Amino acid sequence: METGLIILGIVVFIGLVKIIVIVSLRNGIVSAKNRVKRAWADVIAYQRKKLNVIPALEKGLKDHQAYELGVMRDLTALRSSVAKLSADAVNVSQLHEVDQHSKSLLSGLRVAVEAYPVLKTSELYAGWMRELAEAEENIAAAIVIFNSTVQGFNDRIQEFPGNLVNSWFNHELPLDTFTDSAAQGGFEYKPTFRR
Amino acid sequence: MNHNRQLDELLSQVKEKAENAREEKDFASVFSLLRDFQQTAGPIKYDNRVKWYVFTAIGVLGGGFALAYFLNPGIQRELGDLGYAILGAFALALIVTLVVIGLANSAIDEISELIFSKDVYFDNGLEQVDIEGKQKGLYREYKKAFGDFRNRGDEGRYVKRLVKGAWTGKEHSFPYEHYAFHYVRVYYVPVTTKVGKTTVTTMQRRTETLYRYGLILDFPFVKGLAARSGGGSYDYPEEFQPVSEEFNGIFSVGAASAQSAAKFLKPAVVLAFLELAKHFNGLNVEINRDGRMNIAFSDNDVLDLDRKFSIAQPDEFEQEIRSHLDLPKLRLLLEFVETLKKHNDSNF
Repeated sequence: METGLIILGIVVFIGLVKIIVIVSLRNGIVSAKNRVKRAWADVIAYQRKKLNVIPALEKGLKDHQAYELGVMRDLTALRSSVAKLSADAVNVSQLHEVDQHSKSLLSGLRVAVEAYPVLKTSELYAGWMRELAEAEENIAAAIVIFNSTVQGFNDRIQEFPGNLVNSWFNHELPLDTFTDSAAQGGFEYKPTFRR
Repeated sequence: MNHNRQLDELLSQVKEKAENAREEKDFASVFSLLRDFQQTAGPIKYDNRVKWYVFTAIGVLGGGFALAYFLNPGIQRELGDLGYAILGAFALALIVTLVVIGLANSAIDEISELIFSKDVYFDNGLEQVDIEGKQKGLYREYKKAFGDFRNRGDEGRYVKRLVKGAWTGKEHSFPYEHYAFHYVRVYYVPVTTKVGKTTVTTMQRRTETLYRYGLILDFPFVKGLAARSGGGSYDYPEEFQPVSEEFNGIFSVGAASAQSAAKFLKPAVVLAFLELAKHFNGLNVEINRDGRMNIAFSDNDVLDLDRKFSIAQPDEFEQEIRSHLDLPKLRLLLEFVETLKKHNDSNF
């Protein structure tokens, strides 16, 4: 009788431990997903902050008669592509589009400045460019942090025993990290992942 | 005059000149003195030949006595314990001679280190502040201002060294102070001793001398915030966690308001913290309510650099002194501060 109770106690204890582990793994996946969402929201927030500089830049270019059609077109394209980013859904390909427009705008600005030396020496312009550079720096940092949270999330749903808990309860799919395709293009070597 | 006496005279002149040097240029006369000596009197090195002769003589005599003493029972009986005392005296004389030989050239290293460390300060725009008599007062002042000084040690708490410097960066220039904070931790350990047949356990007092180091400077852009990873006691009610798991694994953030913490810890700032934490142990960064920043850590090598040459090699040492002696860990700290300032100096 006593032995039976002990065995029953052990079984109940093991069962409780299993439940606690499963619940904490499930909640860990939910927290990791929320962290990814927060990191993504940061990326978008800093992309949008960058747009705050743009009206001043536009005005400055017009004031200095440095009205370059290409630059203005890049400004508009950047604005509309940032507007398409949504905080509710992680969309790495849309982020790529924003990144392309940003790079194109920055190189266009550089060309415009070379053509208009008055603009180059303008303190206001230097200020905008500094703000833009800071915004770019924060976007790049936000992307690094976003990628590391995505990696943390993917590890949680792919590594044992998190993969089992995910297939039973969360049903989450691995997320893509953001990679700079232009930078990657510079390498001849490309790793081959079978899965 | 023999070589060693000439060298004594040279070293006292060099030491005096090095102590009075106010800028790197002042070392030029030191090097010309050293070169003159090399050309006229020979190498800048003590001649220890006589001391080695004495050492050998003592060794031979002592060895001979030991052989005679241990192989001849008659001598053993006659001398008794005195024999061991004589052997001990020989051993002691050998050790003393070796120590004298070893110490002979230490003055050369000492003066080389003096010149080198002064030049490190010159090259990095550093200046030692005279805090004689104010060391405890400074500790009390810092304890009131910064959390890293609280809950540290039980006695012997004072600021041991204070060095002033100024950083000129691309966008920000600012003065700063580097301190070394000395404190002693007191703890008790049980020690069991046997008295007759009974054992007695008593608690014995032990002490451990510890140091914390840091930079103090003005940071007027944020007030009331601390990111800590190495002890201390802070008084900021709002906890804040940025999105980076890595950052949260290292630092705990407390702030006067969560909003100011969120504004301060921009992604680029978070990455700057992570980078700095790779190079420093027990990093605590605080900006107090008066807008003063304290970056505290346990690393003692921020103002230290390894010297390659000494005054014994005047040409090579002069070249080393003439080169810019950069302090990489100090640079890391100051670049970190500049990054923080850069990302917090506007309302953008």
